[in-house]
Amino acid sequence: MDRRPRFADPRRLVADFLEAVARCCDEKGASVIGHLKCYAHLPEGDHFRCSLTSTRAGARCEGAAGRQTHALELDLAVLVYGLTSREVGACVTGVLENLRSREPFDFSLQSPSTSHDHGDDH
Amino acid sequence: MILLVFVGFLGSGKTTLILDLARQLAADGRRSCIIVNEVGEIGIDQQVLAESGMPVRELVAGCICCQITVDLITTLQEVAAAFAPDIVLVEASGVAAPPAILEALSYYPGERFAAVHTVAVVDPTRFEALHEVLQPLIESQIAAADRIVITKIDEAGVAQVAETERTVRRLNTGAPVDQVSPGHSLELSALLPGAYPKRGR
Ligand SMILES: Nc1nc2c(ncn2[C@@H]2O[C@H](COP(=O)(O)OP(=O)(O)OP(=O)(O)O)[C@@H](O)[C@H]2O)c(=O)[nH]1
Ligand SMILES: [Mg+2]
Repeated sequence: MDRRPRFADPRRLVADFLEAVARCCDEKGASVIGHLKCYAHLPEGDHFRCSLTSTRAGARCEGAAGRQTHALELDLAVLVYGLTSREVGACVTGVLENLRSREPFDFSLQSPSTSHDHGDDH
Repeated sequence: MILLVFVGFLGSGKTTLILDLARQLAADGRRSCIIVNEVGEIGIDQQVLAESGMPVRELVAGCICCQITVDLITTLQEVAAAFAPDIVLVEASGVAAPPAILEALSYYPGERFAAVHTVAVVDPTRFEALHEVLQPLIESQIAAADRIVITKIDEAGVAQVAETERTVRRLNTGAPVDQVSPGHSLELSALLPGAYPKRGR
């Protein structure tokens, strides 16, 4: 039996992720939320993208509709003014930890300096 | 080769607009390609734009300080040789201003461009707030453009759109201003009148 955790609605999960990262950047004092955007690759070969330009309007996603998956590879860009990349990284990690309490999953982060291809893999 | 250069702050709707124009170009069988320069080291737009089916090239020097420089020239040379495109759509990074791009283009050693049009893309939902904190960048993107496109009119309030249009017209008195939304495209024939006559003419 496949006991791997499943994401019931990957698009909703990624949208919630972007919104929480944006809120965290806001709370940490980002002066401008420029654009948070990501491209999600599913192991089945599907992909979708999500984007956020304001915490008020929230994230919009387009592409493969939400079917279950057990893994998700995300290329992520968090373009904000007024925070260091370390602070942004702390937001990303903190939000992932939080989301894990909702749906258990493992994640690993790859910084762009080590790979230009793919960022967050969780 | 006609160049259409899209500038506009982060998230203003450049990629969305280019995808829509790419669809129109593909429908008309025009040879075109896309060059994109992003802020940050992870290329998201390149993957999004590839969904158009058009050849896409990414300028890799995508950090906030190096913007578009020599990479643009070598990439233009490469696409000219590989595809001989009629039209090249260039998405500048959200922090690039037209003067820097036009200067870079002046070093292009190939055949002269048939035309270079700069389009400034403006998001009315955030315009007032961004204009207040990033005035020099926002104004330089608008002031030097040949055309201004206000996006997201489906999301913005009527007053927001009107106020944005008033300000952009004050910053750039000569450029035509268009309004777009997902259901209301910018026609290529409007963007490139002489070079792109209306279909069926
Ligand atoms: N409602 C609405 N949303 C839009 C419109 N145009 C773009 N968007 C949304 O705005 C967000 C940013 O759009 P992009 O096209 O990625 O913006 P961009 O200027 O290319 O962003 P960067 O390349 O990061 O600077 C996305 O979530 C789009 O779906 C529009 O006309 N209406
Ligand atoms: Mg873009």
